Amino acid sequence: MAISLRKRLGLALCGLLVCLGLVFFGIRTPGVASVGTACTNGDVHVVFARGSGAPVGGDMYNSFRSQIDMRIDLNKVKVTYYELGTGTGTDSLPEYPAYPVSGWSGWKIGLGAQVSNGHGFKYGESVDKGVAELKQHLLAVSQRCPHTKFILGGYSQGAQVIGEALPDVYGRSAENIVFIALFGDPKLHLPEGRGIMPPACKGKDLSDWRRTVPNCHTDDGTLGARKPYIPSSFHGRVGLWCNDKDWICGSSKNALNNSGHETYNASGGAIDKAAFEATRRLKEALPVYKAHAVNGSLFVRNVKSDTSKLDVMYVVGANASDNITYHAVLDGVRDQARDVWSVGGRVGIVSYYNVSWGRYATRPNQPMGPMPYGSSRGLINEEDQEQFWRKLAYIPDAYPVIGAYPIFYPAIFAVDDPPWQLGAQKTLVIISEDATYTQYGRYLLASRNEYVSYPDYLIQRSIEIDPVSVYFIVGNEENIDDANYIANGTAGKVFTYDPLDPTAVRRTIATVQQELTERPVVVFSQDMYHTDSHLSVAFDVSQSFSVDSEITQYDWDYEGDGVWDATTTSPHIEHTYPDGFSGSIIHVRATDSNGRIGSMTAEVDVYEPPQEQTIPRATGVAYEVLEMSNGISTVRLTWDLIDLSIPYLILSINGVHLGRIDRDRTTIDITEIHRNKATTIDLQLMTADYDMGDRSGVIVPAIRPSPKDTPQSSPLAVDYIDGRPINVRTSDSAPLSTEEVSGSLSMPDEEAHDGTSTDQRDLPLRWGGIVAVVIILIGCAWVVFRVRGRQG
Amino acid sequence: MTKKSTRVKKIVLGIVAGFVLLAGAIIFIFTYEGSTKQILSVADQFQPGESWELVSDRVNGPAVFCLYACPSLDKKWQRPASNLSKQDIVEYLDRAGWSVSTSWLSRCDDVFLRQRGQTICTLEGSTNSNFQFRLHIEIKDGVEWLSLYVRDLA
Repeated sequence: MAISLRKRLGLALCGLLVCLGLVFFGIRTPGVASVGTACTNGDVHVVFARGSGAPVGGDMYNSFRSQIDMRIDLNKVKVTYYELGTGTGTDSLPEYPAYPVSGWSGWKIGLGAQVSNGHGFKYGESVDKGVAELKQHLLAVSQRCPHTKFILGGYSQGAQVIGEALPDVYGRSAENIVFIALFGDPKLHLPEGRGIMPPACKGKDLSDWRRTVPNCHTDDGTLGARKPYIPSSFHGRVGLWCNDKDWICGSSKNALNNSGHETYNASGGAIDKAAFEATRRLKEALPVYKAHAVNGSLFVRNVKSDTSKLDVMYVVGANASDNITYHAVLDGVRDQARDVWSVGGRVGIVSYYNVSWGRYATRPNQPMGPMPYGSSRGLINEEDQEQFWRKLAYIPDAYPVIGAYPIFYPAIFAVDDPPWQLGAQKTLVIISEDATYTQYGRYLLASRNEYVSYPDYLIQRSIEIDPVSVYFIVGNEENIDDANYIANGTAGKVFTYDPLDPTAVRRTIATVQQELTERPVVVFSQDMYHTDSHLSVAFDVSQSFSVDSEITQYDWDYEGDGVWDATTTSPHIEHTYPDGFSGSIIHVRATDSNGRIGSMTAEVDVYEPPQEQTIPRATGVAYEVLEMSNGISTVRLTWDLIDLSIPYLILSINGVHLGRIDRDRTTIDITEIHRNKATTIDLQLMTADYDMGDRSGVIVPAIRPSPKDTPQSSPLAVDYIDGRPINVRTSDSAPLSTEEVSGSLSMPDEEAHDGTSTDQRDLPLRWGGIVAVVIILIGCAWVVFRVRGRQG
Repeated sequence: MTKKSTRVKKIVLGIVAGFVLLAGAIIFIFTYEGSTKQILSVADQFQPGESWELVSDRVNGPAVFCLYACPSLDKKWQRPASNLSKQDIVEYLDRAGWSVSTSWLSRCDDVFLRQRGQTICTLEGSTNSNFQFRLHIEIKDGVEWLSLYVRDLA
């Protein structure tokens, strides 16, 4: 088939244009240097991108790896790891440098990052290299290993790298990604965090990628938000964590308040949770015969609870005669103190003895141990430990039997006194050999004639504080109603031991300690919920996790009063608070399949909207033209005296608020009404809360300017109901006053208005369009005539 | 020179001086790095022994504007696989005077016993001063690795 010269030329021209286009727009095939055929990346390939200035193989990467590693039987599922910038991949790749952005060497890079929103200068170059490395690495691995699943993790600058690479990750590389974990992303985008009362604070409209972000006002990262944050094809596979006090991801607005940015790998923190979610998804994605080797439900042994923040306060009585048991208790406390300290927790002890003074059946001695007086930084150093040992040794042997007298006063003393650590799991362990004494002295004399139930007061204080779970260790099962009541209301438990066995109490203390370190951790999706009474609020604790098992039950105490109002198996529930609700705390208790329980509280702010007030309209609105000159009038507006409960009227001209008029007036003169077009003058009544009623107004019609301008009565005035003109009347009133309001009253504009009519604004555009069309037509005609001329 | 021009000159000089001071303060805040002596001396307490080769060592000094743990320190050692055991780790930590609970150590059982193929695990604990440490223990491909991370708790 012959191809004409013109067609050949056309095809060549097309080819040339395509080539030029490719060169010009930089479209290139991905630079995969070498693609082998043997898959060496196993069943799962984990890729991590580190943060600014972090060393290769640093702490975050190792923690992420360690957490994933622990959940997989690596003898059955092969997992390989790659950290961007290590050059340890099999491919020749650009290396992600993760340039530092602070300190002497990095501040200029940090400044460049700030002014370019994270895309320019050396920082942008660092991110670009990371993006290129990640894309090429994923492509190379997925070509070699089409069945290998990916888990991606990125911290700080590394989170930005991963987020920015995603739009260019497609095909098998994209399909095989099971989970992406982003920590402290400087390009964070959570639209639900915008506004004075953002939806996030009400638990509404939460982004698909949002995980634990305690500050509900977090919206954009410090380098601005990336929009869209995640390509839609990755929705459901990305988890974003932004700790409190993290300036990088925007939960802190103060650059010097950035301590949260370094704690993503704290025990039970974001990295642990991300690894938990990643492996759970991996279990679903792998073939069945491999999936059983992934323990997606396991939260790693001994780390599950936030044991790095575990405050335990023991309340121990020192009375009577049984020396052996008493020392067994102290030994038990001593054993457990080391364990609590070793994970950064704090421990204290309140010992008390009977003196039967006054109305108090017991009197506590000084609180003991480092909790009240030790380091407030949460980790007890050697010096504090010595102090604790000294205080333990000081507890007098003269009163060696535990719990021989009522425990409530020292228990409340122990709850109230310590500076409990923010965010810590808080526990009070009350040890009483005879449970009977947990029921003595039940009433506290709160005022001259008012007694308060100690158990109720203890529950109330416990929940107010965070909560403090109250555990009991008692030597018999009789008379433990109050102990059960308190333990139930505070998500604690009652343990019993055999008082005749001298080592039993020590073992029971150890059992309680194990219970504490392995109990489920309840995590609210937000720290505070805002809602209106009569509107339902959705509570979400789906980020909660259990120790070595699954959470099987959630108990909800909506009012924080120690009474469980609902029980569910789902971590989601909705509740509507009634009018007049004055509580401020919701308390949730989670129970796992091992029977261990954990709990957490969140604040609830229930707003009771005021009764809707019907705001009347201004009546009797009319106008009179007082003066006319060169097409400009002075108009007097009159109206009926308004209801005195409404303090203000708002005057608008052509929809623009001009200002506020006091309620005791019934007339105002408006100068400089241009009559070349109709002018709408409105009045609205406004309450002290700035709520406004419907408009009532008049239209001053346009007239042609005439040299014979004279004052005249308006031929037409229109009143409004529901925004529609319904009434026409005229007004003749008293001579004009000299008061002018036009442009002189202060009131913030609600409706920005440039004062230009629509026609005027559109005019240049219209003419511009017409001119452009004409030029194009002339150009086309010129081309046609030239071509024809050549052919001719 | 008139009084007016002198006054203008003084105002300009004052503004310039103010800007210079402000810029100096900003540069100080964003670039200040304090002494690393204390954290280095704490980290030096951990000496795993001569069989280990130090392969990387990096320290962040105290800073006013801190993006990630200031001060903090990363160190990494490696050696050919030599049957690293839990007892070895306990000995290293004891020698340093650092504490870690036995329950935390048990997390690394799988690594020491080569169970489930686990290659890396993490320990956390406290040094004998106001520092926290994290030790990553890795045994893989015939090589043993120790990665130490130390940070201030202040």
